Amino acid sequence: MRYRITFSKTSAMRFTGHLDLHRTLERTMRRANLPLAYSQGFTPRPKLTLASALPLGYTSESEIADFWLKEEMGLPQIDEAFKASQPPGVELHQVQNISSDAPKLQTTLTMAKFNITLLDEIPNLDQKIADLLNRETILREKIKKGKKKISDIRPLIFEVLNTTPQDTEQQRLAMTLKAEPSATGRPDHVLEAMGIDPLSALIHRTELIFT
Amino acid sequence: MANIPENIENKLNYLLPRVSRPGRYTGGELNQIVKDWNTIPTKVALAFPEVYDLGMSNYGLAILYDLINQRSDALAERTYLPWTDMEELMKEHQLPLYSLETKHPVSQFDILGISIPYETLYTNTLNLLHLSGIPLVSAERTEEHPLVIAGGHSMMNPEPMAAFLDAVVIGEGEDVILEIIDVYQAWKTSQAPRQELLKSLSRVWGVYVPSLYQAHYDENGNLSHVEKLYEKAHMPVVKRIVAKLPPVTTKLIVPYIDTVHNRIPVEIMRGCTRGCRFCQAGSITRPVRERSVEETLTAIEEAMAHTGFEEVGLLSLSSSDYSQVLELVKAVSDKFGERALSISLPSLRIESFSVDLMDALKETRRSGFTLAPEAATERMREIINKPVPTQQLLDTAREIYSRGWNNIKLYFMIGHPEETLEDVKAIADLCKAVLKEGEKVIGRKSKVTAGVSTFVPKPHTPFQWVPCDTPDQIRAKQDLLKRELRGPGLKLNWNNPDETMLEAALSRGDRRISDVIYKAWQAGAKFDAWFEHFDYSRWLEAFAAADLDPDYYTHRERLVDEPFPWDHISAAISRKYLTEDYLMSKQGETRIDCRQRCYACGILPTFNEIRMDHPGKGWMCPEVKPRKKSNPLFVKVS
Repeated sequence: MRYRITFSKTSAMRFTGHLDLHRTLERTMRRANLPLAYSQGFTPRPKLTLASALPLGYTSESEIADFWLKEEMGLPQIDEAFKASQPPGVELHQVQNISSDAPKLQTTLTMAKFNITLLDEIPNLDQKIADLLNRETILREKIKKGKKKISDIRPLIFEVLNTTPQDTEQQRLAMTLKAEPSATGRPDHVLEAMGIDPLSALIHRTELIFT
Repeated sequence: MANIPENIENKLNYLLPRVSRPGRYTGGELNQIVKDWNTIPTKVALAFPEVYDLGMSNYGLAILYDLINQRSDALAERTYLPWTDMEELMKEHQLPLYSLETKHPVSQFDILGISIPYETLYTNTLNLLHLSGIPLVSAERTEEHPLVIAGGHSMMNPEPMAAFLDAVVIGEGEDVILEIIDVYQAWKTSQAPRQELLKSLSRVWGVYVPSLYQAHYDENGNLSHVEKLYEKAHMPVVKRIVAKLPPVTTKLIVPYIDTVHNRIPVEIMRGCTRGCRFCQAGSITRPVRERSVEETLTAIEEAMAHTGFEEVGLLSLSSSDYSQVLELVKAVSDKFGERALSISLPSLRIESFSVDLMDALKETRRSGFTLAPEAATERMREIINKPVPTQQLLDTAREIYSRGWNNIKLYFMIGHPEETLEDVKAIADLCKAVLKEGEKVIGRKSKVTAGVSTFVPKPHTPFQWVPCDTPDQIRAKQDLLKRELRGPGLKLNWNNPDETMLEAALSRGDRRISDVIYKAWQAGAKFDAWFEHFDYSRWLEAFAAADLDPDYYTHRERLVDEPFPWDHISAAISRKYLTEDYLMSKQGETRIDCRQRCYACGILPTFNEIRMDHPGKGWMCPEVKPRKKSNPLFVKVS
């Protein structure tokens, strides 16, 4: 039986990485005593997949994972057992039935939306956004397996908006970035391209968009 | 800006994105206990002087955390050392060491309890005090500072750390920590000077207050004796024990990041009856006490419900000697196999490790297989009192390979007393022989990993008299192994000889070593257990600056009747017994498992009454009969 959960990952778990989040979910479901289906082999692991890795330090209100149970369970029962066992920093929003032949989560993901709070005052923010979006290419150097690789992140950026409310001191941005398995945009890279230190920003994922 | 929790939180929000593994510094994990700081009178910070990843795996502190927090009048919070990147930022931003639960500065706690299981944590302990803003030297602390106490195996010789610790727990902490809190509360109410607190503590069984003792040296600089300065302090300070293994801590904190032992620990047995002469743990944790299978199963059930961990570690110094080991392993796999709980059973002994037990373990997943023959020739094994026939080792290895394990890890030590290069070469030969057994059953898939460490003589063991090998001797032995132990399927791991030298100098050190530790720390020594941080030259300079010779502590053969710096600390193993056993080792004479015959090591005379109150199979020592008053009408004829 395949199920899909939507949950938030909040500040208490901001610094828990992808693999550790995976393990945290596994343990939550073990505590909840859900009849998990395990992989075969010498080291069985619960069958669980996350839609998209959330970089370390980010929070999110829209994390999505699929998991499999050995036997069918009612959604309210899963919801109740999960919520009773979730650790600080994880909060279940929704659990759904998913057809077992539905495509893999990762393959249908297309975009991700983020809200960003800037901790330092950035002058001329609107201009910076306009300049960024006007660029035809934004080249970024990364080192992969010891080799320098240059990639263009401009095609990964769909939207950057200044969403700073009138009555707050801290500036805010909203971003929509491409999130396909082979091409995933990262808000920290976009901030860097705008000349903003990503370490002085709180980045929060608000939505994952699927085909 | 005052260091109130809110300010510390704010600084952390800024600093954490800038450091490696920030999850070490946040706290807030499932099952952490947060009590009301403002209403709880006594606050204890429990510290492990290493990074979170290691500290969270310390079983002793998990027990104490649970016990203290069960009291309504006390709270316990955790603190660990920051890694170097975080330490730099903390200094730069004037962020003191803080507790993970409520982010209070460690200096604001009443008691700071530090676990120091091994010697390479000594400089880290100083660094922990420094980052907390607490004076490093006990004599410089006032009523304004926390009471700094420590415990753990290395503290069975507390003398090298004497200058820095207000009080030291000798032995098992479960009961005594609560008494220390009681004494602290009474003192706090009395508003007496700090010295009175130390005096009261020195009267508690198992508590050693270094400042109430003075060491005297003769004209040659050798220790002559230790004198107590407070009449009512104990002499010797006898280690604390619990009569019965305390209930298992099952509401364990579940870390958000990976740690060294990310699992349910259940101590199934404390102590060891085997009497390997090099082994300090076996000696200082006697008597042997077991936990029942039933209690262990209940504990695992509870812990799984609280944590969801995937693995249980059934802990003891010699698991296969646990009297019900086969029943236990079968019961755990029957009961929890369905929920994919794997079993880790460390420290299996070759002679008590049955084929049935292998079959039971095969059912649950388990990666490598580790056996510790410690020495490769039967002569050497007799000297160290770990006699296992080589053929039995080979037979066991074959059975292991044939059950699907491809890699057998073999632990050895070089540097045992009387060891020759032939004995060392035999390690390589034995590894090859084991590999050959593997090739017979599973072919070229089979592997042997030899972990060869260097023996360091430890206090309270029959080898406390023996010289440690010199670096030249160690290197010659390691070079021999590196030459001999190569080829497909073979892997060799060894220790840095300089680290061995440091451990050797510290473990049998006296009070004068405090100065060396201080100077080494000042010169930048910390994280001495980390290869990338360890720098022996700093230590050599510190020894020179303190006008002490490390060779005096490491390479000297001690006289049989020489006074030792730890003579006033009693592990309840008598010096007479240790001397006898040391002399027996020189004759190659062994002593079998003491469950079969009591050798009067000293435990029963010391804890006679406790044993009498706790008869039966909980202890492996023989039963003690109540001492009857002699009846004048009967004359005993022997």
